[in-house]
Amino acid sequence: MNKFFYPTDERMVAISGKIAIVFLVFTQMALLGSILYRRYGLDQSDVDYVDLRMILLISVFGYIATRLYFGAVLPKLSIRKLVNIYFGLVVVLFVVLSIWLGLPSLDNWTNTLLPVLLGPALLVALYWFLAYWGYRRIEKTITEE
Amino acid sequence: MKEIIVKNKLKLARVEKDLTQQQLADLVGVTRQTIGLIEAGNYNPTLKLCLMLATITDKTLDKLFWIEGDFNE
Repeated sequence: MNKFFYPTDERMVAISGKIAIVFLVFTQMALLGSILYRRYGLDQSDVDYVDLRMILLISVFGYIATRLYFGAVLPKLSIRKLVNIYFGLVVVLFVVLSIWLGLPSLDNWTNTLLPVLLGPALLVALYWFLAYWGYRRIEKTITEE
Repeated sequence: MKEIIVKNKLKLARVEKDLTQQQLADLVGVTRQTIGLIEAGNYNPTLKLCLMLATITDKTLDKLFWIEGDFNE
């Protein structure tokens, strides 16, 4: 393996990690900027930059998810707290989107209300999943020692 | 929180063993620059590397690396 790209020296590994995170954030910010420019600057439709959105989504969630899982840095929250967070997110999303796009129509609820209810539910479920498995993984390693 | 400063006697220990930075680096599997930075106090090595350095220089870990002052104050 090329030592430049796959350093074995611990200091080089640490430096590579720091550099990688700086450029990862830069790349994600650039992607976000590109998406916003296409959306509001060039007035393109969603389909025109769906590839960029997917890359950004996978990059951001993939990074956060793997880091939380392997680092087990997420606190395990009680069901009550998770429910509170869920309703908090739903309310914030509903209010922000209602101000931005107007009140949702009930006739078209699958495109208006459902994402607002389902999106936070997925986020909260993902959080619980990562926290649970991250802790379980670390605890298992500790008890095996 | 008080800043913890790790000091070391790696350079002295290396010279006592008649090793160059490159020779020591090769023995522990790091670059010469890493050894130089440790000696200059600009890089804190991992425990694994500290133990390897202590073994090669025939020093105990606390004689080779220590914390300056009382960090527990």
